[in-house]
Amino acid sequence: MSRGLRLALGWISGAAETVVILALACVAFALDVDASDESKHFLLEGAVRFAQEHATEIGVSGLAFFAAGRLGKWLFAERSEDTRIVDRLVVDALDEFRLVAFGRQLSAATPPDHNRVTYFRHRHFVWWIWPFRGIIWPWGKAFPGTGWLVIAYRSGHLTKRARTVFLAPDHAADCEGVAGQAYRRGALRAGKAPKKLPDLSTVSYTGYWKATLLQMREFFGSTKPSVLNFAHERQLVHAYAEATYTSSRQIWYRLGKKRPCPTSILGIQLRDHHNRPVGALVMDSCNEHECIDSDSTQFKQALTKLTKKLRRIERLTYEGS
Amino acid sequence: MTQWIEVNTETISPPTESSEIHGVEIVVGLSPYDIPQKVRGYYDRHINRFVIEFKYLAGRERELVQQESDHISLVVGKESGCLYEIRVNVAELNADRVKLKMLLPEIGNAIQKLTKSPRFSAKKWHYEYARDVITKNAEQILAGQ
Repeated sequence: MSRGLRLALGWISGAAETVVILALACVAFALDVDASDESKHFLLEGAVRFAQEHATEIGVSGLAFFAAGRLGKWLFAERSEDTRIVDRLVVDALDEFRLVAFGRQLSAATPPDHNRVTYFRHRHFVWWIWPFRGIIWPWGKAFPGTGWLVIAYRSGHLTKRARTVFLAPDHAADCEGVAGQAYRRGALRAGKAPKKLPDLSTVSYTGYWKATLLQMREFFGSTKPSVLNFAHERQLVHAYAEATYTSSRQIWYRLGKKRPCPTSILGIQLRDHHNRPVGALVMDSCNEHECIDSDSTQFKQALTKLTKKLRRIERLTYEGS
Repeated sequence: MTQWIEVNTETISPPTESSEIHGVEIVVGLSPYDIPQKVRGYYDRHINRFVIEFKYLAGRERELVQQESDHISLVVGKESGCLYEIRVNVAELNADRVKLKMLLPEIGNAIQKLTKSPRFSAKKWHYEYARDVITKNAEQILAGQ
């Protein structure tokens, strides 16, 4: 979408929202006018009587327009120059941290996606998640206000297109993913050489219907190579999901999108200047360079530096807004 | 004030819990924010107490003082529950370095008491680690008296 169209749509959404607020204020005023005496005539008589007769319809449709305007404003909002600068600063800080976390042994040829540092931020409410976790209810067994971890920043990325979210309620046992567990428990590592997470790079995505068919064949005792191979892959995905505190469905979704599945993940809790947990920092690795221990001096020095930078940026953002 | 003593995580390793899920090693540990980086002991003339102070990577926060016994009080973080200071009323005890060494088990008990309070019970590992750090660096900490 071009920048001009985006700006125009954002402006229209904002204008629609303002118009709705004004219209609802006028209706509220009209309801207060005494129009019971039909013989009396007053200014904008027709409009007032119409507003009084159709107040409910106007109210309901007004709220619908207001919600649509809000949604439009959110969808077509453009990042300001300040936001871009803040994003660049945070991503640079994460890039610097990545070099220490993975032991300064990464070559320039190592794809950024194979050794990543991701900053997950805790949100009390998440109104949109994709893919849905249930057929009717997008949040699965949770609610929008259960508490979630969303990707705020990732090393090497500025687009913020990642949609991964993890459930992070108060109860640690219900927290999803290494990020969720680390957020509630302090620090968690899933997979460390030689006992790493299963390598899913050879597993190919199997769609829902084909998977059901293969499972049925397996149930009836088929020994065809395709059936046995799928059974093995399913076991690997199940083991991977359990070890990373996610569901097999989420792992199959990743495989379907051809996203790499790390073989070693380290998550640590991140805290703000009041020392309250604000999110989690996750270091994942798809190659032999796994993240160094979180209690090593190098790691702690790098984390101190990163924490100071993040807090400084946070303070600047607050002061600037 | 005395110099800070570096806490060596190789000699005093922070508590961890390892398990295996389908042959994958899972290690749960303390948040790096809860691992003291430095420790020192000194006599604070303003409050007339011998203070054992911990330094963490994220600096200090709003604090509260918990009086754990007649002559030992603990300064903990209001939000994180991190142990920042242990204050010993040496003037009242008329304690010298030798007596302070004898007080170490009592200091340990005072820290242990914190884990029993519902507010800080989740920080059990942190307090146990802080106690270990004091025990293993006792000589150097008490030299600051």
